[in-house]
Amino acid sequence: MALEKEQEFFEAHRAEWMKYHENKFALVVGDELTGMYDTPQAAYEAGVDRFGNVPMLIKQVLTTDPVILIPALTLGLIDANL
Amino acid sequence: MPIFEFGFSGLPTKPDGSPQLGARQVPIPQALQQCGPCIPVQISIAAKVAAALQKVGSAAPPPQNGLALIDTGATISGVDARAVQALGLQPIGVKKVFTARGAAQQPVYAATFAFPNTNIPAINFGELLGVDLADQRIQLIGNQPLIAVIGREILANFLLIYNGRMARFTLAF
Repeated sequence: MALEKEQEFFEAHRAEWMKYHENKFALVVGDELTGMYDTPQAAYEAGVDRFGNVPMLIKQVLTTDPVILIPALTLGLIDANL
Repeated sequence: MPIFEFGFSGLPTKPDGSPQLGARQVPIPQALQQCGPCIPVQISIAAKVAAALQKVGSAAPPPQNGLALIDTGATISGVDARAVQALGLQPIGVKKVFTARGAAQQPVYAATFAFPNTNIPAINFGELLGVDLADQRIQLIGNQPLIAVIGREILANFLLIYNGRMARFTLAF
C-alpha cells in the first residue's frame, strides 16, 4: 500500500497534533514530520522543494478523515484498482 | 460571469433517416446522455515538480490531453492510471473509498488542470484520486480518451447547468 509508513506515523501522532495543529496540513516523509501548512498546495511545494518528486503524505489534521464518495467507483463503472 | 457552454446538435432527419439538408439544427439529447458532460482537459505536473526535474537534468513529461467527465456524484476528482504513469506522478496521500469490490485505500496525486480551447481558468493545484478509466473513449467527441473525472471539489468553483432536453450543459465561473 502506498505511503504505509507515513500513514502509520500520522496516526501515531494524530491526537497530539490535534491539540496544536487542528485543520493544518501535515507534510510527512518517511517517519518525519517536516512541517504544518495552511494549505495542501503550500505543503506540496515545500515537500517538492526539499525532497523533489517523491512520495509524500499531505494530510489535514482532523479528528476523523472525511468520507470520499464516488458512486461510479462503488458501482464498478470506473475502477480504482491501481 | 464568464460562461463555457457545450451542446450536441445536428440536422433533423427524414423518415428514411437521411438528414434534412438546409434545415435548422436541433438538439440531440441522446448524444449528451451517451457522452455525459465532458470537457477537454490537459493534465500536467505542477510547476514546482517541473523545476525540480529540470534541476536534476530531467525533462518534464509532456502534458496528457483528453476529456474529463463532470461527475456531480464524486466527492473529489480522479485521474486515469495511464496519465499518472505517463506524468510520473508520485502519491501525496491516500483516501479510503468504496469500490465495487469493497472499501479500498487509493492513492492521491497532485497535478495541474488546464482546459484547452475553453475559457475555463486552469487549476494550478488539484488533488486527484487515481482511478482506472480503462482506456474509455468518447466516440461522439472525436474519439478522445477519457482521462479524468471532475468531482465536487472542482465544481465548488462553478455554476453548473445540465439541460438534458436541449442537450447542453453550461459552466459559469
